[in-house]
Amino acid sequence: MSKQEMVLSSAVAKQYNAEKEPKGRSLWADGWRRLRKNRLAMLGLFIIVFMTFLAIFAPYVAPYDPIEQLIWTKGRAAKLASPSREHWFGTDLYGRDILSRVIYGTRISLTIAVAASVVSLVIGVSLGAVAGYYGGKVDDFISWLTNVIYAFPFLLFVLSIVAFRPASLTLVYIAIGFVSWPSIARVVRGQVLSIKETEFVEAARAVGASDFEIIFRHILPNVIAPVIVQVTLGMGSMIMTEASLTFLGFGTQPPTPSWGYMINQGREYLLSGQWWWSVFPGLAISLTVLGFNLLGDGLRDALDPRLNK
Amino acid sequence: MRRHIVLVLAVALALALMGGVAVAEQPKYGGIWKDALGANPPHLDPVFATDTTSAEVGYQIFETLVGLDPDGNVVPLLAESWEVHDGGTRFVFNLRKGVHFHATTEGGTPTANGGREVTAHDWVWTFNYICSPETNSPRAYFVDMIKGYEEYQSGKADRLAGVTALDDYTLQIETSYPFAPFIQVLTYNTFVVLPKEDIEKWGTADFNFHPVGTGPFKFEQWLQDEKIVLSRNENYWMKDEYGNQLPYLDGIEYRIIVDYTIEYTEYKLGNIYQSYVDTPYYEEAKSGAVGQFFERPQMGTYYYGFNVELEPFTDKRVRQAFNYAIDRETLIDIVLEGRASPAKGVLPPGMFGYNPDLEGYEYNPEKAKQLLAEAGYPNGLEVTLQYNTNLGHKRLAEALQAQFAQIGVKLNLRNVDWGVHLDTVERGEVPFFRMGWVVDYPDPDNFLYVLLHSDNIGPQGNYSRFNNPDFDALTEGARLEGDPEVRRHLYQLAEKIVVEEAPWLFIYHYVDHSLVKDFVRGYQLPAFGQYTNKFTKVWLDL
Repeated sequence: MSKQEMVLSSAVAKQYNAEKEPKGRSLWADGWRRLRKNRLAMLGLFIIVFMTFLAIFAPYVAPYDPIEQLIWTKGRAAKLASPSREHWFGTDLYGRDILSRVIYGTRISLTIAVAASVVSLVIGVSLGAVAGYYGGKVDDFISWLTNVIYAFPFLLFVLSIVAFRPASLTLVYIAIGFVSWPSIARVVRGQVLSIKETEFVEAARAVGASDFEIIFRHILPNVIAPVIVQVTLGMGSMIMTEASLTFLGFGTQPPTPSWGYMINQGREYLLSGQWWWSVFPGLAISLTVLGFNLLGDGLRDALDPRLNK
Repeated sequence: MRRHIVLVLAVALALALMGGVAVAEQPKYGGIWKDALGANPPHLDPVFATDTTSAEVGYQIFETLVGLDPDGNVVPLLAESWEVHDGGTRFVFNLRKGVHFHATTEGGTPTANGGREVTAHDWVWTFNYICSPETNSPRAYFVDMIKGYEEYQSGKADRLAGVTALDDYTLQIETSYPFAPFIQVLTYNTFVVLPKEDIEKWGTADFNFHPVGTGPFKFEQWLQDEKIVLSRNENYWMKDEYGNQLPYLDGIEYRIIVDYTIEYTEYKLGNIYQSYVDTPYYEEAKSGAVGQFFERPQMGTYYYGFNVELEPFTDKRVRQAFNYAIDRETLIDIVLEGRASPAKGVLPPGMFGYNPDLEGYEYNPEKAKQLLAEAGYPNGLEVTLQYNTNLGHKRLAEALQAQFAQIGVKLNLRNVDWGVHLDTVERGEVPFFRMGWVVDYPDPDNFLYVLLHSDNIGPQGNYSRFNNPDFDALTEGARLEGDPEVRRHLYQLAEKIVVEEAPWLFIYHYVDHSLVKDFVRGYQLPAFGQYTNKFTKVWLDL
């Protein structure tokens, strides 16, 4: 902790010096400068960029077809082969290459993270903005709704949504998005509450701008930074939720390679010694979630310097 | 096949040795038999139980006229002996004296019958109750050859004419024709004696939750999806060879454990004394290091059913294509560790009428593709397989998913719990479903007639809703036929039709496994499967 603080305080000092320079810089440029100094955040960013690269280029990176079952052609030798030169992470019961499946698994996890974030952003930002801007009864109602969703056991709530219909990826990210918006709504509401009292909003109102214009043109751009922080931190837990759902059999369906599912299947073979089936996808989840959390923490420090005072 | 014979011999030898030990050791009383059930049983009322999980518990609480020994032979149970008259159409059972219904149940609550003795009149009442059209038992038709069954079912008669009490301890059953496996049918878990007073007290619907019988164990508690507890019937009629009161155990506790990994872990931790052995633990279990291991071919068939009334399985070519698409040998050898034998048709090896020369479906993806193209699916199709939640079923389904992908079939998987699965399949709502059938009485009638005759569409057993007049005629003919050779021939012809029409995707015939703690004595793996075990003579050397 102390080391990180040192890094941060030196970042603040440099920023202070930099601010003496006459040339102005945007919040983003400042933020990026601060972020770059934060080694842990950069590690997080690197992990995410790396995972994104794997997801996009999976067909070129993965050594095997992730759903091809080699046992039918290569026989018993391909079954549950331990990690080797041909199969770095070993193979599963059906002779599928676990490395290739882990690589393709990034697609599922990142798709979930992005798509569910979009869903929660749309709901969270609009409800948060409306609540903060109009206040009164509207605010009371939306805040109440937010609290209700918050109060529900998260996984149970997602499960009950997913159980209604046959499992599909779309359903999973809609469900996860649907229960993740309250934290975004709260952040947006709080920000809007304070920004709507500022002079530039008064000015906009004075020249006759509509509520819609004021919210979208003048207020929301100032809320982006904390929302980004919130979303980044949320992505890690969304990936975990997808893995848990899939582990329980409700999420992504076989043969689609999903980390949660691989862990579930491999679990049967942990007792008999074939650890590689579930351990490698487990590591992949940990690494990705760690990446999002490190980056999220870093972004918060970088974009909201007040926290450091 | 040779492997199986060796295994059977090995098991037989082990049993013989154990038997020797049991004689030398004086059995100990006490202890709770801790076991696992693979699902919450759909029915504890034997009149409605059609599945193995329900029967597994039912066998401890209820008793039939005749039972099965561990090798599947019919032996006396509540009938001490029986005679067959009139060319196999009249059966006279000499009932055992001193058999009482459970006097108490559920924590010592007195039962409505008060623990009275069972007489022939109870059997007459029970058969009338089971076969009554109002009761609507899905298994009543197993005994539809009893004289007067049709009249009683259709409401033309107010009682079942063919079942009569000659005196308090002599029961007579007459059939309308000589049905060869009739005695075996009576070992089925529905044909038990039931206490009229308790059924009247609870009503047909609630007796399921308060079952009362004559068996070695009494019902105590059923926590849905959690556990079932039974306690020792202190008034049980059976004694061991030294004259000691049976059973030795104080009770049975079944925990409902759907997951094999958890079941095996619980076994290794000592929380349950018997475990099914799933493929991943087969090697370890077989080594003998973790308990007494039992393995035995079980007369039964594992299949995926096509609902022939629903698209796309209305087309025979699609059903045949699916049968050509899978490589059963590799599947069994690698995914199942060789713990099964490939199925060419319906009848399992070892059963009367089994046809070793039956021509089944070989693995031929090209042929499968061609058939699909002919059926109008040149670019393949997408189907969903429904199976009951179980790691073994899932493991197999995922292997076959890849096989179907080869012929352009995208197979989606959908799992639901056992009760829901059985219910939706019986109602004919599921186009493609996993199913298995293990023998109730060792005769082809139990497979071909029960599972595929058009009269039995729905809960009676014909889940595929297969309807073929030639097949119907052959299986009906075989029911009425007395000559074994003619019967065999009729069944083999009927099975050929099934294979050609392919209402099933034939997969494999079962081999059953059981792993039991070393301190367990008197345990045997029955020929009909672990689920038919009775714990009357099992004891714990703790």
